[in-house]
Amino acid sequence: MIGSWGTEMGVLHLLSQPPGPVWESLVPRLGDGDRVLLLGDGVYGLRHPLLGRLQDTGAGIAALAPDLVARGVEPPGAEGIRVIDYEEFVDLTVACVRILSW
Amino acid sequence: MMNDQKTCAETDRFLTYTLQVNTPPYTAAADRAFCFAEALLRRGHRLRRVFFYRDGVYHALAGAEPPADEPDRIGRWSALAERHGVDLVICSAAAQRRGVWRAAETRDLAPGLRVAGLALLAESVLDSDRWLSFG
Repeated sequence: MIGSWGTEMGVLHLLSQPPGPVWESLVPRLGDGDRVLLLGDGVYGLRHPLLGRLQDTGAGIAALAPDLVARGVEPPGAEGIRVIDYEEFVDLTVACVRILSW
Repeated sequence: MMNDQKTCAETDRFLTYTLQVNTPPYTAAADRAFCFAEALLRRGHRLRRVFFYRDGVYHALAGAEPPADEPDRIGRWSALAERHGVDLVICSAAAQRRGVWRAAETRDLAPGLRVAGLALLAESVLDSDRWLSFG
């Protein structure tokens, strides 16, 4: 998964909603080459069962570090989720041509 | 930074961005938009235009006075625009609906901000490599 982050394909989904209906509608739209960045209240999803549904799609998942800190959410362990800063957020938008905000 | 990723300085891939901000200045989404704008400029990319839409048009009110212990969330956009030549635009229809239009008529807009229509957003998106929406 990590190796695919540098290629230009897929859609970058910016998920700033807490786990709920928006997450439910996103899951069926995700494909292998897609990436999901959890930001804002979206980082609460790191502690929610819906996270597994996101991961099962094969999409690469990252979380924005400052928003984790602001909400007191512990960074994930070895769950295949990257914690990134704003510069790496920018790099993600370079890798993905299309960016969707949820 | 992962080893397989290269920064744009290493690949000479500099992109042009358009950002759309849909929420008022004192919101987490607007803060994220600003942090993202600073980061893309630090990476060497170009920020062509920021389009303030819906409640985002409140960014244009020059009379807003934040408490001294808070960042000036309007002034910092003005400073960014001046430093990096970024075009800051508020949506005319959204501004009219919210009474922000009055500020434009009395020339009381925050420095660097101007009023324009959605056509300018469309033009900017077509001329940019990336378009991100916040809020």
